[in-house]
Amino acid sequence: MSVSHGRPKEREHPLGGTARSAKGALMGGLVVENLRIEIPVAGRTLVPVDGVSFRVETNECVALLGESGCGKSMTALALMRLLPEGARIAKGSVKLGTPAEELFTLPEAAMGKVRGGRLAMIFQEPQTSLNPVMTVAGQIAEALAAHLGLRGAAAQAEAVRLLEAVGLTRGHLTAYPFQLSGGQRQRALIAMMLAGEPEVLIADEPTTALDVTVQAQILELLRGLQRQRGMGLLLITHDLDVASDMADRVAVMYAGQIVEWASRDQIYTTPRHPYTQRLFAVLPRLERRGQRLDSLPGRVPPPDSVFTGCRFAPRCAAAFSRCHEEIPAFHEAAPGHFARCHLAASPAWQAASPDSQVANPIFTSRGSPLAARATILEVRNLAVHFPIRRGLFRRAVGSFKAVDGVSLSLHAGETLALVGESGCGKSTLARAILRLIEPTGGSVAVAGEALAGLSGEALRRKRAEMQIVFQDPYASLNPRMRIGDILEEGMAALLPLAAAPRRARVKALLDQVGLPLDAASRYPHEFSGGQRQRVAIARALAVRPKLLILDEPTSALDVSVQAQILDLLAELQVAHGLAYLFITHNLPVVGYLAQRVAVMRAGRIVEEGPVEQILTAPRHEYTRLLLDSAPGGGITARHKRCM
Amino acid sequence: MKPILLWSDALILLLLATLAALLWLARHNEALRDPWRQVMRGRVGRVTALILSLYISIGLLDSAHYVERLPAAPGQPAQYGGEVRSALDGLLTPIRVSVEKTYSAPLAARLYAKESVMGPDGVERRDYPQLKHPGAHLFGTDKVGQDVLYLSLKSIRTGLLIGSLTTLVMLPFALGLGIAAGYFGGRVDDVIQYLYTTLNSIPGVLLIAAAVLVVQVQIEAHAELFNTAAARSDVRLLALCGILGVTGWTGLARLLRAEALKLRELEFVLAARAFGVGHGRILLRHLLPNVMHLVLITVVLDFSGLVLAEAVLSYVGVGVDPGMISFGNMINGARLELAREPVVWWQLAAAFVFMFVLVLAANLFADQVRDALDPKSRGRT
Amino acid sequence: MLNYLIRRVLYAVPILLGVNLLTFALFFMVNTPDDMARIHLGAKHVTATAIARWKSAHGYDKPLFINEQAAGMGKAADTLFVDKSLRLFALDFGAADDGRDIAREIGSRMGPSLAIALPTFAVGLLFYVSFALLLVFFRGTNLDAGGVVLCVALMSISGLFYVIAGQYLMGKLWHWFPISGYQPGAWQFLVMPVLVGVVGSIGDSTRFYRSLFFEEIARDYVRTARAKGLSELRVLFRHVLGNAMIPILTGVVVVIPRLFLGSLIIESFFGIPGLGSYTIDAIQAQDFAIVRSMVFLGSLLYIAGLVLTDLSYTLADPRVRLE
Repeated sequence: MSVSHGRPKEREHPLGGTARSAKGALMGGLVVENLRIEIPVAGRTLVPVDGVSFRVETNECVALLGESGCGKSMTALALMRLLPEGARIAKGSVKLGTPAEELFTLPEAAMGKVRGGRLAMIFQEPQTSLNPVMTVAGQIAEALAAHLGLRGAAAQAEAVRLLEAVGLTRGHLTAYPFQLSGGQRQRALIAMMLAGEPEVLIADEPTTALDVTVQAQILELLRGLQRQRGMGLLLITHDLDVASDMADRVAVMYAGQIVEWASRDQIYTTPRHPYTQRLFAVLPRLERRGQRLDSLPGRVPPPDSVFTGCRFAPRCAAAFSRCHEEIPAFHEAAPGHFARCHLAASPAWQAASPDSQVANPIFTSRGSPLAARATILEVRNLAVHFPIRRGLFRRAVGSFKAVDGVSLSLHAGETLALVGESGCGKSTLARAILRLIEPTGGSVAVAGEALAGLSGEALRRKRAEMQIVFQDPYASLNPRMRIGDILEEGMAALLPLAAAPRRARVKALLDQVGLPLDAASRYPHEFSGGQRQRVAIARALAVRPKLLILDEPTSALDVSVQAQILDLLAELQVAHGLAYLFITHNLPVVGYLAQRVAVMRAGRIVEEGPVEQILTAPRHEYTRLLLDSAPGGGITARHKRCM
Repeated sequence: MKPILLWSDALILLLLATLAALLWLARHNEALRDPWRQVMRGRVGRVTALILSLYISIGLLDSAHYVERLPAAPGQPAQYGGEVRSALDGLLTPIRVSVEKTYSAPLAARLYAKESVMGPDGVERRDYPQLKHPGAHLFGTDKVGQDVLYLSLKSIRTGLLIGSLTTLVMLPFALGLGIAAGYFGGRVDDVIQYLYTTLNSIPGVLLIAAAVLVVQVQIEAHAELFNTAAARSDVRLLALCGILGVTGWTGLARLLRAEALKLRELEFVLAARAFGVGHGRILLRHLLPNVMHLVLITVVLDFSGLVLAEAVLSYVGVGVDPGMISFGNMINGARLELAREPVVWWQLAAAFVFMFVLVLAANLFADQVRDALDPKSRGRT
Repeated sequence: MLNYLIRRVLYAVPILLGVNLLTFALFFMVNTPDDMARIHLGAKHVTATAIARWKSAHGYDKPLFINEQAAGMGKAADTLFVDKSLRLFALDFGAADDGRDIAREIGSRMGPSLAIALPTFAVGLLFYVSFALLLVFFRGTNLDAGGVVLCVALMSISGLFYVIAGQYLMGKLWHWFPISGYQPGAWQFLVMPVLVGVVGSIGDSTRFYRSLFFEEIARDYVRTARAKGLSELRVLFRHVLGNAMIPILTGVVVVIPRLFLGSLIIESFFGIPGLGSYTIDAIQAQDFAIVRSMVFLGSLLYIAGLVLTDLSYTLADPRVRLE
């Protein structure tokens, strides 16, 4: 085993001995040692988590940070002994409280007392994590009965107290989950989990499914509860900004192992593992505009790999021969700062890290000033209203205004970011512009020609000029078609090309988006999310569009993959003079990529302007709220504005 | 001999040709070959596939029909006639022609019923007479002395036909209407939903009974069209398959409608629409291939249900022609004999066992197919 | 909510009309009254007058849709369609070929049908759901695996086998119950048909409920319930069963009204004078008047089932109740 533990005596534990909680007191909390999870599948054994050790003390927040598939959620479920069927804890120990009690050897009945009692957990999906046919009161009462033995009026009173603690009211007791918003559901879930007065609360991506303004509120609530109750908080997240706002200490996970473990300040000022460094380097920011984002080549090794050296070595710019031959120990590179890298302690790592973005190529050749270029998209007062039908004969009694009088314009080679939270109508707007949904009012003109009057063949021909890339890389490619056929579909429908030149163009497109040529004869399931998104971009480019609508093209991707896609988009824009309508909820991406920003809320554009002005000096109150809610600014700084 | 092509034989050939063509088209498709490999990797998959192919071979042998050449004087043009036989009949000639007088127990040497026999001493007594072919009947003989093993083997073709031809009739309705309802929505959906709610609202057996009665009347009214008994029962069998198919598409159609409803919102369908790809092409290239796993799973599952349904329908009197050899008719003919003493059990037992093995194999095979095609379902059912 | 129900009830009208048209087409257009008369008169060479006499005796001597001879409203009203088909809407079923009143017959036969069908339904549902819950509770163990194999084996056996084996073993061999027959209020006659009916569906139904429970057990809220520290039994009964009630109701409530029709096979094998055996006798005697009536009644009860299903949703699913 590569994990270098000290002697098992607790005071000398490498993870606990030096890194203490904010108050310096060494309390019970949760100690995880050498956790290994195995999933036997058809003769092979997958090892999603391999030798993970860390500790969460009471009264501190620890962030377990990592990209998808690194094993962070598996780790959390293992601590609760709630692993999905098929996965098993192969090795390791989890101790909770003082005196430390080993959880992995407890009988199931005793573990039931711990679960939701001393150790509780909240989940990512507030939509599905609550029982849809039970009231909030009923679901809280269950936990109270199980752990405190409370029933009847006493339970009722305690439930109200819990709801108030999470910012809900007595009125929410009788509500069913479908009557609550996403944020309220997450609050109700937290209330349930607080019922047993946990020593440690595990929060598995608690805000990933929420809008940024709601996310800020929930994070603040969690941080507040953690401090106020003196409990430990283990926050599982993929978001560096969220971790930075919340955590006292951070553990960075890669390929089933913790590769770096230190206090938040140490990690964010002097990351010592090349992977952590790369994670920072790939983040898009306003200040990195025009620069190529650093990228992380290759893929995470599959969970059944056999390692002879460092797991990150194949993707590491600083790797040298020892990295491939010897598994690096998890050692203390600086006081309280642990890393799993041969170079962590030596100064060599700094030289190897591509720290300065100055070295990267910068996109400056943006051509003539925007105003002088052709207008590609002109949207005037566009409206999409859906009738609301009620009553015996389903008569329309009103309408839901998904898009309510939106005007936009976009020039060749320009990127306009359309920012808004879920349900604001931004995706409906995109579909209405392309006439995938019929607008109920207003006009759209692409390259000077109005779409409204077009039909049949004329509309079909026009479709070559405007294309779209969707969010979900899995749903956007037909799993039963080869990549080559997917790319040819649009050409066959819209371009007057014979079969041979079409195939030649498929090759050219694959090359342009950085995919191997043999991809044409393969099926989508053989590709990763980022590669699929490249295919989707190539598919849209195949018909030589002037306007590309990008509907959250990177929000389903990991940050390292996001950087690659953003780089690709920037390159393609320069090469083809494409106009991008970039729909997103992610403000840092906007700052990096867009020239202008339109902020959308409830079907209307509330503010529009150049990106620097909107992001630094917003005029509209809602824009300010969005900016303030974005993680990365620290929690307390915006305390008053969010509540 | 002269080959005879009954209508059902022609449809079987058509079915085989379609299957062969599909296999030829899919031979390089990894996405389709993978699940099959997975089915064949497991022991259950291999054994059930073997049993099913055994049954299918028997059914196919029983579908190669011919009539014998009648003995004719030399110089005369050849005369054909007599019963329509199949290759299976030819193979089974020894047990087919070894007919006894009436019931006899499995491997018995003597008849089930007493008769007046002349003893060796010349005195006439009531006794169980010696069989003409003692020990030759593995499963005994039936009321008219036919070999039960022969009857069981002949029943296989009927069962398989009902299972497969019904599917052939049902598929176009289920695929076309189900996918169209889900994809187009609106008025199209309303009309199709109305259609299947109406069909569903009629109790299944009654609808089938009503239709079969009508067909029966029509066959009787046009008896001159069918020159042999085989042709007549063949048409009735096809009519039954047609009726089962026309009334049986609603379940799958509903499933496909729900799936198409989900698929049409998926982004690859939107992307195709953004290219102006026509509805027909979208249905064919994007929807159909993505529901085929559901279709396959349902078809294999339905098959066993149909084999069992034949027995029940034949019992009710709206199944296959009473003169046709089938599991249902075998059971029907023997169930009253349970009251006799000693019990005549072998005919029932043979029919149930042959049917059970076929249906069990089909059910287990269906589970394997489902696990391979729909990994989410694994371990659930 | 009320509006929704009213709409569902109104929706029943076109469906029943469709059923009517379909059966009318089958029985009167494909199969003309002349064909019917010929079958009933039996002989090969029936005279045209004999056919005409039979038709007028049974009320089949009218045109299909339009009566040219009648005056005014009679043009449309005095036709076979109105006489034989639309009258069903008023539950006026007319007379069977043997002259007996169908409505009266139905009324007297509902009792025996229900006496078998209702206990079969209730006992069956309870047994299948409990058995499925048991398998789910022991999921991943040999008990579950064995249970599933048993279910597949049971569902591969012909329904006729259960009837015949039951009669032979419990009736003839062990003399537990009478082999067949029926007397109002005599429970001995009910036990075997009910038992056979329940056993006959163990395979199908248990498998179905088991897969429903498995679908629910994989959901996030079940994980939440476990994370709260609830016992496996409570998770299973309160959360899994509570949510699975919705799909269970969809399948179950819709068949409740149909219980009146009884079971064709069971009633005919066990000699129960219910609607099932009435139907089967009608089919075998080719009495189309009865078959048509039963088709209409079946559809009516099915639609009643659909409305009941909607109603039951409002009880089981707060999302429907409160929207």
